[in-house]
This record gives sequence, structure tokens and C-alpha cells, in this order.
Amino acid sequence: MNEELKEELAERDYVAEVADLIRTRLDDPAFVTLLDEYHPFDVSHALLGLEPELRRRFFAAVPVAVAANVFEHFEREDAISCIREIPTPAAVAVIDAMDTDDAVDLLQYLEETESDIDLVNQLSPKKRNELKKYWSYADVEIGSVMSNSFVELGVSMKVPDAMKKLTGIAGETEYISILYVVDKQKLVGSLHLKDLILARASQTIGEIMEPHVVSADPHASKETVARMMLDYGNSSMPIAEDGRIVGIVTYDDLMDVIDEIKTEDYAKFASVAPAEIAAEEKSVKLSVKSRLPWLLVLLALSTLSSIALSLFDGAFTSSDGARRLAAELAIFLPLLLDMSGNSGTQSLAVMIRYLAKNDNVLKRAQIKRTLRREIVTGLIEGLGIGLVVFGVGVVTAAIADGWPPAARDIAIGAVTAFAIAVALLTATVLGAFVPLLMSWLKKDPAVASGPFITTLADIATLVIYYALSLAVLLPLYASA
Amino acid sequence: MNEENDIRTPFELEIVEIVRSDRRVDEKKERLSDFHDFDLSQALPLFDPAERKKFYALLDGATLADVFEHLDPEDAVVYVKELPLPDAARILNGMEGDDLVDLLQAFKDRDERVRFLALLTLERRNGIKAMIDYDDDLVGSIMNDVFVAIPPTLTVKQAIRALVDAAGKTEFINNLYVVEDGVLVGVLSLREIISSGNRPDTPIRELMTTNLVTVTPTTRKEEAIGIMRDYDFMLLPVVGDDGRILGILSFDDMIEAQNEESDEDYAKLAAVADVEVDDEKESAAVAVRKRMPWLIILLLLDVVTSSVVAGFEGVIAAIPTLALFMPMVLSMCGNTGTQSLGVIIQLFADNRLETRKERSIHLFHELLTGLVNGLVLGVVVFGLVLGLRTLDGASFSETLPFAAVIALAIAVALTVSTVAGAFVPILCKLVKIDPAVASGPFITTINDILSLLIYFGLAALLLGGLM
Repeated sequence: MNEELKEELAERDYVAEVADLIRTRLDDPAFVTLLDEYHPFDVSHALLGLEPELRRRFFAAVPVAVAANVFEHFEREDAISCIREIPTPAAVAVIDAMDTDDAVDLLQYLEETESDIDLVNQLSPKKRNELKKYWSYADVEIGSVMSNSFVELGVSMKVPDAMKKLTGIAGETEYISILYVVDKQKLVGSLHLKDLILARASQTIGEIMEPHVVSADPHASKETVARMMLDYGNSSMPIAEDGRIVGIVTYDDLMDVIDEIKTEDYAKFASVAPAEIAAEEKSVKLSVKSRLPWLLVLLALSTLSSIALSLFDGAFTSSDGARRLAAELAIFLPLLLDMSGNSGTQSLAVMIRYLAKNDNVLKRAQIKRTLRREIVTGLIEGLGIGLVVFGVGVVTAAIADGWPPAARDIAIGAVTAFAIAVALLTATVLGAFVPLLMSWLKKDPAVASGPFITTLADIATLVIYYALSLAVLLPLYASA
Repeated sequence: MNEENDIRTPFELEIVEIVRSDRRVDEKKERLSDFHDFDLSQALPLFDPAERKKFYALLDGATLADVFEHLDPEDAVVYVKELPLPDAARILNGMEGDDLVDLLQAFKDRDERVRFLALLTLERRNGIKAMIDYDDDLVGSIMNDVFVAIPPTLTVKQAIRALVDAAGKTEFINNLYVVEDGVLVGVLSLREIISSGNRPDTPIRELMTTNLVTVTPTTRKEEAIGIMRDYDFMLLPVVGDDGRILGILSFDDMIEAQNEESDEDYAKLAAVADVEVDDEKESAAVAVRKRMPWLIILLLLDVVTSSVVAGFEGVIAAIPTLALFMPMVLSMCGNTGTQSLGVIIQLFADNRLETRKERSIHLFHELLTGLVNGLVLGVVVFGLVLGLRTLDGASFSETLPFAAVIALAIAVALTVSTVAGAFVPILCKLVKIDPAVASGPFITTINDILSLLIYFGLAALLLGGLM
């Protein structure tokens, strides 16, 4: 995508320019200055297109900070293969200089080989401590993606002193848009850089800060924190433990988190593994591994519908009339199953999004209102579709056998219409109710995927349809 | 877990308490100024109209505009209408362009909207008009026209001066845009300029980055999101074809766009016009209006499915057991189709199926995946059918050919359905129909028809002897 974008945006191809620069000017004393004109993302992409030998020379030539910056922009797999290309001492220095959350991401996927273990053991004690802390957070916790590059100001600092401090560290601090204010190591406020710039020299930080700072616990879920950040619209949110700030989450982390959540929910909804949605390179093995387990579970579920049907099997093979009825019912069966599945999927999609917007916690009043809405919706849809089906059934029968249609045809139309109305209602409510139940059980509501709801709705529909037919229609056919 | 930090602190109650208290006005103002705009906006619905008026008087104009940006557009309309016109004018003129557009679009009554449009300054009105001209999924519809622009001739010291002057009325000052005759020639981050504070006489031209990454107003939001994620940008400049800077995109608008995008993906898989629920107002009537049209269309398709079955009525009457496994065939084929559809929707979104080669590779990939899945499930189904029928009291020799046919039918139908889940959207794209039309339920219905044809067709062919 990026290659193509480049062409659209400008005639200049930064990746090609950087690659060219590395090929021709690597030994030039001005190389680092020239390189500085380019964004590390472009540099990382250019490097991937070069020969390993040239990459090695590049990393030997540039300062550690530049190399670390480039590594932060690599995709995980590329970072791993590149870090193995460079000599261990240099690799250690690079990882030491990387943002800890990116370093964690890289190290997590190293293998248990001697050289990889060596790499970890030679890191600075400070980095190793930081890493250990990150490793204590689960992947779903916000602590695993927070950054420790932020600016802390003392509450009693004067504005000019704060400005001086900032001038000193702005160069190596990645994010300075919001500064955090501490008092005896406790987080007490936040300050937009803009407000610091506008402040009068006589003021203290405590006077100009915003004291009502909302923070999140490092063990809070990424999703919870993402939602808080969306509400506040700030470019960062502090992560605090026991009132002490331990890191921040910035807008770029937020974008990644949202993307991750999106992929996961979406994959579940389509019943595939998130890995298949996220994968750059798709293989048949990956696809089968992603889909087959779901299909097997769903097969087990749909066996239930066959078992349910086989309960009626005896009654419907008892006479020729019954066999004919069974065949006629079978005609409408796909329609019924499909319609109930469709309406179930619709209410499911609406419910899952609604739950996600409310952080999977609904108030009693919201639950009541939602369920009432789905019940009424299902009723109206059921009645409407039922009427249409009845009409279609009667008209088809009339076209086939002449007007007026036989009582039997009207009866089968009525039974089918009634069954579809009940089935639609059931499926619509199921689609809303099952995710609610999941969230009440503290399970991820997205587990109730589309196919899962469809299969549940199938079983309910089958039982309703055949039980009704058994009671109302079989006498009409058996006697015929 | 640290309770205090994890649960949102009900700052809005504190705000209400402050407004209702009998403190002095300037003390109230001072206290309110400590709250975030979002919390202030959350307090608004807790007041009655008279209190809201008092509340507004305690906030300065810029804050008030920010507060309105945080409101749901529908709510914002209600509150704007309560205000005396001059106050409403001040708020509307202070709001960010995209939020203002949302608010104006939320007016139900056209005349009313026109009345409020008239409150905007001419400059504002022109700015908005430009935004409305762009489609919802293009960045032109959400760009922000307030940013810091400086000429390249300034020195660091002068630039800082310009920055301080602009800071009061500009929301995002993280980047300074260096503009010469309207054309964007360079960018300088606030960080860079602050860390150059000790070299005040350095010309901006020397410091600025000239390798610009920009978008145009007709860039799709999705692409802009990708760029901002790749480069970790907080702001992204929007330029015209002639290189003139038109506005900037800010991370908050992009994140909102990212969220909307996921609603769209769901709607595609589920065939609902709009999966967004407006909590307070969505009634069953609205829900029915959104969903019913789709159901009717799908119903018509289902009539086709039913007529396929009707064609095999004789076969079913002869072998009623076939109907027993029909739901299983239908549901499995629907499921696998949904899976490959889910994958291909994402591929389309990432622009990864642009060339003919990519498309054929993907179809071949789906074919192989479908074959493997079909084989495995076929074997499992063979066992299942044997087991179920034997439990039902059917004889083994009678069941064996029957189980073999059903297993074969499932294997073939699954393979075909897997490919169809990818093929139909590709086909739609080729004939320029929005692939979103080929949503989950459509694929399921098409797969219903295909799989029934295969199932009953194979049965009629192979089990003819039993009839």
C-alpha cells in the first residue's frame, strides 16, 4: 500500500532516495546529517530492500540512537532478522536505546538459541529491569504498550525553570505535548505544552496545571484505556500505580490498540483466527489452522439440528402422505433457516457494537431498553415477513393448481408463515441476548460469532417448524 | 486493580456541585477552569436550562466551543437552540470545522439550520462549504483549517514569537508549517524548535524538514490513517494539487474515523444498513426501518433457494432422510463462505487485491483451503452420519452408501462455498458493484443455492438405485 501511496502523494519516493543515499554516500562524513532529513519509517523500509552486507555497514556507521529509531519502525519479523545480522555488542546497544515497549516486542519473539539468550543477558541492568516490568503485564493490559519517555515537572517549579528543563530534554524525549506534574512522586496534574508556552514567567507549574488528571492502572485492559482516551480526546494518558506515574500511552499506541481490537472482534465475528486477518503473507496452512477449528465446533452444533430433525423422522415416514408432507416442508426449510439466521446476525452485529461502545458494561435500564427494542423489532419483522411468505405460498399454489388454492396449501402457507414469524422473533432476540449473557458472564461477547448465533437459531427454527407441522398439517396429509 | 484509577472519576458531579454552590462567581470560574472539556460536556445534561445558562457564563468562549465539540451532535443542537443568538454565534464560530459540520447536519429542520448558518462569519461559512463538498470517506471532510504557518525567512527566536502569538487560538501547535506564497515548503516540530531555543538566530530554513509527507483532500481517510500510523504522526498536512496547504488532519479526528470504519466492516458482514445504535433515541421502528429492507431482499433470494429444493421434491419424497442433513449442509456451507468473505473484505480494505495476479493467487489459495477443510469435514461427517443413522435403528449396509454420498456432498459443497465466498466479492468489484453488497447473508444465500444443487444433485445421481 505504501509504495502506491507514495506515487499518489508526491513525485518523490523517499524510500528509493534513502536506499540510494545508503548505497552511494555511506562513507561520506555528512551521511548522518543527510539521513536525518528522512523519517525513520522510510529509512527502515529502504533498509529492507538492501543486501544484508550493506545493512550491516549501515548499522555500523550510524549512531546508536538513529539505529534504535529505525528498529522501532520495523515490523516484528524484520526487526528480528535484522538484529541477528549485526554483531552482538552493537545489537545490545541498539536494544538498550530502543523504547522499552518496542524492545519488549522484539525480544519476546527471539528464540532460545545461545546467541539470542546472550543478547538479553548483555543488556544494561536498567533496561533488563524495565523489561522485566513490561513482561509482568499481559498482552491485553495497557502496561504492555505504555511508553516511558515523558516529561515530569515538579508542582512548585517556576515557569522559566520548567521551560529550561524542557529545552534540555526535548531533543531526546519523543513526546512533549502534554507534560505531567508530580508532587512528592505522586501524579497531581497535567499541563499542555501550549499552556506552558503561554504562561507568565512569575507563575508556578502548580498554578497553571490541570489538577483533574485522569489516569489508568497499568493492569487495566487496553480496550478500557482506549475508550477513555477517545472520550477525552487527549494525545496521551498517564498510567499510574499507587498514585505514581509509571508510563504514558500516546495517540500512536491508541491507533494501534484500536486496530488490534478491531481485527480481533472482526475475526471472531467472521469465525476465523485473528492471525489470518492480520497476516501479511497468507498460506493455506495458516488459513486451514485458522478456520478448521471453528468449522468443527460449528459442525458439532449443527449436528444438534440434525438430531432435532431426526426426532421427527419417524412421524414423517409413517405414510406416503407424511412423506409428501416432509418433502413439501423441506422446500421451505432453507428459506426459514436462512431468514432466521439473517435476522439473528443483524441484531448480533448491532449488539456487539453497542456493547463495545459501552465497554461491555450496560446499566440495567439500557439492557431493558435494548431487549425490549429487539423483541418489538423481531415481532414486527416476523409479522411482516410472515405475511409476505404466506402471500407468496398461496399465490404459488394458486398458479400451480388453479384458483382457489386447496385448503391444504393454505394450511401449509399459514404454518410456514407462523413458523417464520416465531423463528425471526426468536433469532432476533437470541442475537441480542447471547452477547448480553456473555458479557454478564464476563466473557468476551464477540465470542458469540455470527455462525454460532445462526446455528442456535437454526435449531430453534427447526423444532418450531416441524412441531407445528406435526400438530397441524400431518392430520391433513395422513388422511389424504 | 487500582479502583480509583480504573473507574472513571465522576468529575461531572463535582462540576454540578460547583455550579450549584453559593461560592463567588470568580471562585467558581477558577475551579471550573481546572476541568477537562470532556468532563464539562458530560455535566451539561445534568443541568436544567436555567442552570445551563449560569454554567455557560462561568466558562470563557474558547472553552465553551471546546465543550460543544465533545457533545453528541444531536445534544449539541438542543443546547445551541436554548442560547441567545449572539452567544450561539460565538460558540459556533469557535468550533473546529468538522465538529461544526456534524452539528449543523444534526439539525432536523432545514429552515432552522439556515438560520444558524447565517450566524457564521463569511470565512467560516466558506471553510465549511469546502468540507461539505468532500465525501464522508475523504480526508477533505475532516480537515482542520487552523494551524500555525510561518514564512521560511524567520529565525528560531521569531518563530517562537509567532508560535506564542498563535498558541492561544490554535488547538494543535505540535508542528509549525513553513509556507512560502501559500505553498508548503517545510515542517518543523515544536520539539525541534524548543530544543533549538539556545540557538535563537538560526534561520528556520536550515532547521525545517523538507521531505514532506502530505495528503490531498481527496485522499481516503483509511489511507491517511495508515500514513499516520506508519510515521507516528500526530498531525498530517493536507495540500492541494498545486502544493498549497489547505489544512491539517489531527490524530483525534483520525482515531474517530478509525472507529467509524469498524462499524462499516460489521455492517458489511451482517447486512444491516447501519449498526450504530443511538442509545436514547433508537426505537424498534428505527431498527425495523434499517433492517427490514435487507430482509425483504434476502427473502426474495430465498425464494430462489426454495424453488431449487422444489425441483428435487421427488428425490426428497423418495429418500426423506436426505432432508435430515439438509440443515447441516446449509449451515456448514454458509459458515465457510462467511469465513472467506471475512478474509477478503479485509484484503480489499488494505488494497491488496488490485492486480489480476493477486486476485487469481487468492482464489487459488481459497480453493486449496476449501479442499483441505472439505476433506477433513467430509471424513468427520461420514462418521457422524453413520453413527446417527445406526443409533436411529437403520441397518449398516443401508446407511453406508448414504453416509458416503452426504460426506462427498459436504466436501464438494464446502470447497465450492469457500471459493464462492471470495469469488463473488471479486466479481462484484470487477463489474463495479460495491463489494459490500456481497455481504455475509448474500454469500450465505448464494452458497445455499449452490450447496443444495450439489447435495441433491449428487444424491439423485448416486442414490438413484435406492429410489
